[in-house]
Amino acid sequence: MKLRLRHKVTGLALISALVPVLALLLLLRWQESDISRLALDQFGQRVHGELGVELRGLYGMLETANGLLQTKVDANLNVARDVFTRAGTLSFGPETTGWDAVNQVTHDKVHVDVPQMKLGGQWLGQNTDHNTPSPVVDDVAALVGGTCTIFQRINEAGDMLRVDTNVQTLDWHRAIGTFIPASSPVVQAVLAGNIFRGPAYVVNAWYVSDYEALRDGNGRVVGMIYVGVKQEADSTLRETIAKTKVGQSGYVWVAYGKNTYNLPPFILNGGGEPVADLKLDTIKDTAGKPVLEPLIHAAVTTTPRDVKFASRQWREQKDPADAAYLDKNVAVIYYAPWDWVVGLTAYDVDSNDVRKGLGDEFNKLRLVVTIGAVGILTIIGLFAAYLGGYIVKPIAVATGLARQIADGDLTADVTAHGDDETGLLLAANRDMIASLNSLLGQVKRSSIQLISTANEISATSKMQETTVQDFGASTSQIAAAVKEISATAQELVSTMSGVSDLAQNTATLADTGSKQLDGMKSSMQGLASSSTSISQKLGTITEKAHAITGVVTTITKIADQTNLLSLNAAIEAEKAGEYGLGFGVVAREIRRLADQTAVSVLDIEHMVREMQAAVSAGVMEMDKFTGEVRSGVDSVGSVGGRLATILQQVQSLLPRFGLVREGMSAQSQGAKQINEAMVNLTDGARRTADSLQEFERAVKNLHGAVEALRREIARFKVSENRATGLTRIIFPPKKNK
Amino acid sequence: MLAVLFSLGERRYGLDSVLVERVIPSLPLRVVTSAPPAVVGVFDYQGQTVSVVDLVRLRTGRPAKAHLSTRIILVKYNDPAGQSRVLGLLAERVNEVRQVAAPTPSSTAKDMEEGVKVVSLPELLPDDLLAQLPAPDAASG
Repeated sequence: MKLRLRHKVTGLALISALVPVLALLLLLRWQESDISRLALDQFGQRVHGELGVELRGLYGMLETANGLLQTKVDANLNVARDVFTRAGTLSFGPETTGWDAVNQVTHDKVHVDVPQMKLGGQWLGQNTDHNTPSPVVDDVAALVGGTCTIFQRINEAGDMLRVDTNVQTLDWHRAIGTFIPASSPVVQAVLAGNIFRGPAYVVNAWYVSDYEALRDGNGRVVGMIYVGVKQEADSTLRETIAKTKVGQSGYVWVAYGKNTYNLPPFILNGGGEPVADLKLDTIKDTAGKPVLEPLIHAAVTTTPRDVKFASRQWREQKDPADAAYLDKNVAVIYYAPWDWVVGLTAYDVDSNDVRKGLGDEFNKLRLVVTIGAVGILTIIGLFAAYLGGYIVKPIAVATGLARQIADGDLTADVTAHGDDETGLLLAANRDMIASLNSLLGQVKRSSIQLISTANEISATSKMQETTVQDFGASTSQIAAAVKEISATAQELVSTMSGVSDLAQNTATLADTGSKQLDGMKSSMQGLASSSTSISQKLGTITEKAHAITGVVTTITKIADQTNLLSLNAAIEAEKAGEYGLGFGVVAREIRRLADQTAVSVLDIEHMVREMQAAVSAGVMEMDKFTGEVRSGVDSVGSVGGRLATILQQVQSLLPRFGLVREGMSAQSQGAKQINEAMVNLTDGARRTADSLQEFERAVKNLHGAVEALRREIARFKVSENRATGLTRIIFPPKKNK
Repeated sequence: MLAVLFSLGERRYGLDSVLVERVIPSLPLRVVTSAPPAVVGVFDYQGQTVSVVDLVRLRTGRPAKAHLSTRIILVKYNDPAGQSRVLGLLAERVNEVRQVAAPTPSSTAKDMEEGVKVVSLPELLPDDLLAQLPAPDAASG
């Protein structure tokens, strides 16, 4: 306990120190991002500034170049004008020439016939051959260099046809035959009486050019004269631009702004890729949005010297994983006279360096703070440990004291020191010990009293228990006896019931039997009458037999007579000799017939006798049978009578059975009631026994509790002068149960 | 010859039908006390009194049975006076005539022909019987 408290105190101190440090670190981190952002913003702005400055420088360069060129061109114009004037009076001869004029904008061909343009009477010609000299223009070139062209107005609208020039086409011919439409700003300016100064795209290059009107004697514009000097007379300008570097990796590129001639958009690319491969609409950022195109479109609308920046950094839609393609910043400036959009692209790698630098610095700061924090924490920790010990010591003392009391030693003495919380604690402990002493004394006295009381109660309950047990035994016996009676009565009742049922059955059976006997009797009577009729029939048969016998007798007599007759006939026939032969035969036949008849008669007699014998036997049998039947009928009659008697007797029994059953039922009921009463009584006895047991148990518990208390108390060593009125505790000897 | 057959006890005899007047059924007879004991009675036949001798009794001692075939054979004889008289012979089983061979003095085998012994009158009757017969017209005594 002592240790943990100390640790707590130490911990508290440490945490108190730790929290501000952590807070500081957090603040630092938070601020770091703000500072970072600020620094980067500033840096970004600086970068923008740099870009702007560069571009403006370039712009100035272009401006200078253009100015110089323009001055030259103006001088050239003067020369050209002079040459032209000296060449003679301008006239248009009567002759005409046909031209297949090509509109230089639409490239439409139109055939025109125009009067020949003459200077000093000499036609300017229609010369395309480079090696053949052309008037005026070659002279101008020889004098001042550059290009020169004479235009002839071919219609009232003002279309200006190139009739004489030293400009070479790509195949080394003189570029005559094309015309500038009247709608062109060049023609418009010239017709208005002004000199057109500006860039011109001739054949395949840009020229700084002047166009001036040629007038006839009446002052009407009949043509134009042009002088031009290549914008890029030498490559120095380009090289300078291309070499421009911004920061570590920024580069310059130049593209057309309005690009009215629809030339390849890029003029120059300092970034390394060849110009011809660059297509404006393919330069997209990683989101797929075109970057340079909108910028260029925006650029052409700016005021001169105004630098336009891409709204955000972008990364080209090449391989974003390739570290070479980093975020870029782009700024543009538009030089209108040449329709040049000069752009500066700077890689963000520079700002990355700045970012890294800042990051490093912050890390250093964090490290320093951390080390400092650890140091402070260590110091505080040590201090807190010592402080903890100091606070904890009195508490330890109090704890030890409490332990002593817990172990039972109430003799401890306490010297309280100090008025602080720990001092108060020790004083309180001292008071507690005193109170405990007096309490224990009281308890010891009370426990003695309790034990004696418990013993008395125990004895009493023991006596009660015995009594109850005896009672319980008696009631059990009575209950058993009553149960037997009840059971017996029940059996009897059920037996009576059974008997009654049997009697009922018997009565029923007798009744049925009686009925059946009646039936039998009548059947038998029927039999008797039948047998009588049979006898009668037999009698009839006998009569008939007699009749037959009578007939047979008659037949016999006849046979006999016949036989006799035949004998006598035979005798007579014999006496007659041969005359009586036939007669003798007849007599013989007759005799045979008689004999046969006699035989048949014998058979009949035999049969009749047999029949008579059978009939006699049958009659005898019938008589015997009838006799038996009659006696049977009599028997049945007597049996029926007996059954009826039985039936009567049984039926008379039934009510008596009922009475017996009722009586038995009543008895059974009574026995049951007694039984129930006995059961209740037994229950009561048992419950009493149970509650006595409970009582006994309670007493035992009390004993046990008191004993436990005594043991507990015994543990305490009591200080004699503290416990009031008590010297020694004597406990009564334990009573064995 | 044609013989009328009859039985006396178990033996069967035959009488020459020449001798036989007629066979008649047995009929009730008047007893004549003066007649010899063999004569069982007389009856009237065609105006004369005919005595009837029970051959069966003569031969077997018992009287002839009263069967239908117990008949009287009427034979003609000549009495001592030489008159043709009729005598009745009562025999049993007089129901047959048969052609038999006439007996010769040495025909012991033929005597037994078919179990029939052909007899003559004297063989049947005692010698003095004929003389003792009542007169044909004798009244019943």
